[in-house]
Amino acid sequence: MNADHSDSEPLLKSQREPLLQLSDLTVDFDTPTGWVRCLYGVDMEVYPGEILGLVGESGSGKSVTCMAVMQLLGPRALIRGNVRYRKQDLLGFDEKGLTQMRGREIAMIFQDPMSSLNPVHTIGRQVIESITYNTDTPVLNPTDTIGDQVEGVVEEQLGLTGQAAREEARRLLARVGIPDPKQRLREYPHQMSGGMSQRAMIAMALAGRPRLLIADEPTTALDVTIQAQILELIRSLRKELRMSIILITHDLAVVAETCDKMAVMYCGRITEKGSVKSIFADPHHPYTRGLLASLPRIDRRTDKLHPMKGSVPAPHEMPQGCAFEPRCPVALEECKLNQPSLAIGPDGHSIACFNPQRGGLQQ
Amino acid sequence: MNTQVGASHVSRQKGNGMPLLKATALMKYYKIRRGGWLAQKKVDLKAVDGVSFSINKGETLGIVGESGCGKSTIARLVLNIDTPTSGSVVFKGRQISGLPPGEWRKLRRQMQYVFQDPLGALDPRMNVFDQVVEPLLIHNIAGVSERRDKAAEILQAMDLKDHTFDRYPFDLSGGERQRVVLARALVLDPELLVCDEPVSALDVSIQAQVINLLAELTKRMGLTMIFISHDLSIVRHVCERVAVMYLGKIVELARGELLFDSPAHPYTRALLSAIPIPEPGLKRKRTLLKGDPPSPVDLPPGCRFHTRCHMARQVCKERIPELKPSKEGRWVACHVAHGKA
Repeated sequence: MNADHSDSEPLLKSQREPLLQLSDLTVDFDTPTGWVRCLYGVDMEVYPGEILGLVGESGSGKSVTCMAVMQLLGPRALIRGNVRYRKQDLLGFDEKGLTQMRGREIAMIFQDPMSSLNPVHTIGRQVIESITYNTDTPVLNPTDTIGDQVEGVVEEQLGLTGQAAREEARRLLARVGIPDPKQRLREYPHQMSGGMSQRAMIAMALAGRPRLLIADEPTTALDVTIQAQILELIRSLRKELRMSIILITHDLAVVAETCDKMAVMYCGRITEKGSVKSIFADPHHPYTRGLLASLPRIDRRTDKLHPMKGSVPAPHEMPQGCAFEPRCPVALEECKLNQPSLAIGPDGHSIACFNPQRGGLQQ
Repeated sequence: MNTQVGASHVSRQKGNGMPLLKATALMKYYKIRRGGWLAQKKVDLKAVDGVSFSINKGETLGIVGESGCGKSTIARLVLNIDTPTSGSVVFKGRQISGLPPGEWRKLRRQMQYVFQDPLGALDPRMNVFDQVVEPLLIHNIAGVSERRDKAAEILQAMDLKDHTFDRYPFDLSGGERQRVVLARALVLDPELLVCDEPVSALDVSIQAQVINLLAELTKRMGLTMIFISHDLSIVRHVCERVAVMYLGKIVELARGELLFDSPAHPYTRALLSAIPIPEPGLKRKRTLLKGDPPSPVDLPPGCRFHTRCHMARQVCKERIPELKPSKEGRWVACHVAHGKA
C-alpha cells in the first residue's frame, strides 16, 4: 500500500508543493428565495503528508468547502474559483474524471457512520464494493455477483478475483483495528457499534488508496474513549500511508492533539490559518481568541468561562464589513465598512483582520 | 475556589440533615425482544442497575458516562417519567412513585427537566412568549397580567431581547432556543432542575454563554441541579459533586476537584485521559481503552469494566465490586482501589 506514494512525494520541505490548493473558492446556492452565498473566496492549501484541521462553528462553511472539492454539492450549487489537485483543475473535470478521482485520489468519511453505511448489505459487501470500484481489480459487476452471506457463492462466481477482493477487505478491516475481521465481513451495520462502523468507513475510504482523506467530523457522534481510538488510528494511518488528511471539526482540543496545520473559518471565510502550534500559542484573530477563551478545560478548573457575545449571523443578513464585527470586542470603524482580506502575518500565519491581537491568552 | 466549594458543601450537609432528593437502589430493566420470530424470547436490558445517590439543597450533581451507561434513564426515573423496576426516589421526604395524580402534580412543579434538543422540546406552532406562559397556565399560577409579567421577567433574565418574544422556535438560533427552554423550566420557580445534555447541541461560543447563565441562575435562585453530560470539561466547570457511570452502575462518586485531579477508578482515569486538551504538544500519560463497552443485555460477570480494564485481576471477573466510601470522602466501586485504601 505504501509503495504507490512513496516514489512521487519526497517529504523535503523546500521542494514541497501543495497536494491540494484552493484559491478564491466561492460557492452560491440557488434557493427559492434567491442566491445565497456560502463561501466567500476561500484560499487554502494542503501539503503532502500533513493533517489540516478545519475548524469553525456550524454554518461556517467547513463542510461546504470540502464538498465543493469533491463536487458533491449537487446541481443547485454554483462553484467558482480554483481547485488544483496535483496540478490539475478539479472544477474542469467531467463526470467520468470525477468518478476516477473520488475514492482513488481523494476519499471522504462523514460524521455519522450509521447513516453512511447501507443497512441492508453486509459490511463485507460494502467494503468489497469499494475495493472493486476503486482499484483495477477486474471483477464482474460487484453488486450482482457478490453473495452476501455465503462465502462459497462468492468464490464460485467470482473465482480468484473475488477471493482477492475478500482478502483485501479482510486486510483493510484488520488494519483499521477491527477485531475478528473475517466474522465482521459477514455482519450488517446494525450489528456493529458506532466506533466499529466508523472504522469500517475508514477501511472503505482506504480501499482506493487515496492520497487525500477528508474526514468530516469523524468522531463527533462517538464517545470520548472511542474518539481517542479513532484519532489515534487517523494519526497512525497518516504516518504509515503518508496520506494527507483534512480533519473537519468544531472541537479545538481535537485539532490541538491531532493536526499540524489549522484553518479557522467564520461565515464562509477563513479568518486565520497557520501551524497549530503558533496559532494556539499566539492567536491573532479576535474570533480565534474568543473560541479559545470560551473552552472549558478538563485539566484545570476555571471560575468563569468567557463567551463571545451574540451569535453567528444568518447567511441572508451578513454585515457589510467583516462578518465578525458585530461580535468583535476590538472592532474598529473600518471593520464596519470593509472586508479584511487574508494576509500573511510576521510569524507565518495568515489572518483576515484589521485589528489583529497579540500575545497568548491567560488561562 | 477549591476550599470554598468544599466548605460550603460540608456546611450545607450539616445544616440540613435531610437531602432534597434521595435515590435508593434504583433499577430499571427494559424488556427487549431477542432472537428470530420463531425462537423469540424476552430479555432484560439493564439500563440502570442498583444506583443510589442523594443531593442536598443548592448542590449541583454531575452524572457523566458514555452513551448507553444509563445517565438519561436516571433522569427519567428521578422525574417519574419512567417507573423504576425496583428502588425508590424520595423528593423532599416523599416517595414520588405511586403518588395520587393531584399530589404528584404539585410536587412535579418543583422538579423541571431540560432536554438536549431544544427544537424538539419546544412547540413549533407557539411563539416564545406563549411557550413560557404555558407552564404557569397548566399549574394555574397567578392571574393573567401577573403571568405575563413573570414570563417577561424570566425571559429577560435569560438575556432574550423583547423582539424575540413573538417569534417562533424555527426563527431562533440554537442558543436562543435553549434559553427559551430554560426560561420555561425556571418560570415555575422549581427547586430541582434536571438538565440532560443541555448544551451538547450548541456551538462552543454559545455553549459558554448558556453555561455561564446556568451557573449564575443556580446560584441566584438557590437551585439544586442534576447535570447530565458526556462532556467532562463542562461538568468539571459546572458541578460540585460528580458521579461516573459505566453500564448502569455508578463506579465513582466524589467531589469534583478530587475526582478530576486524582481519579481512583480505572474507568474514570481512562475517561479523563481520553479527553483532548486544547494545548498542542502537551505531553500526557494516556490510557487508551481497548474495544467497545459490552452490551447492557449480555453483561460480563463480576466487575462490568473488567473486559476493558488494564488492572483487572481474577477477583474482578468473579465478584461485583461494591460502591464503598474511602478515607478522602469519595465513593468508588473497584476491587483494586479498595485493596489500596
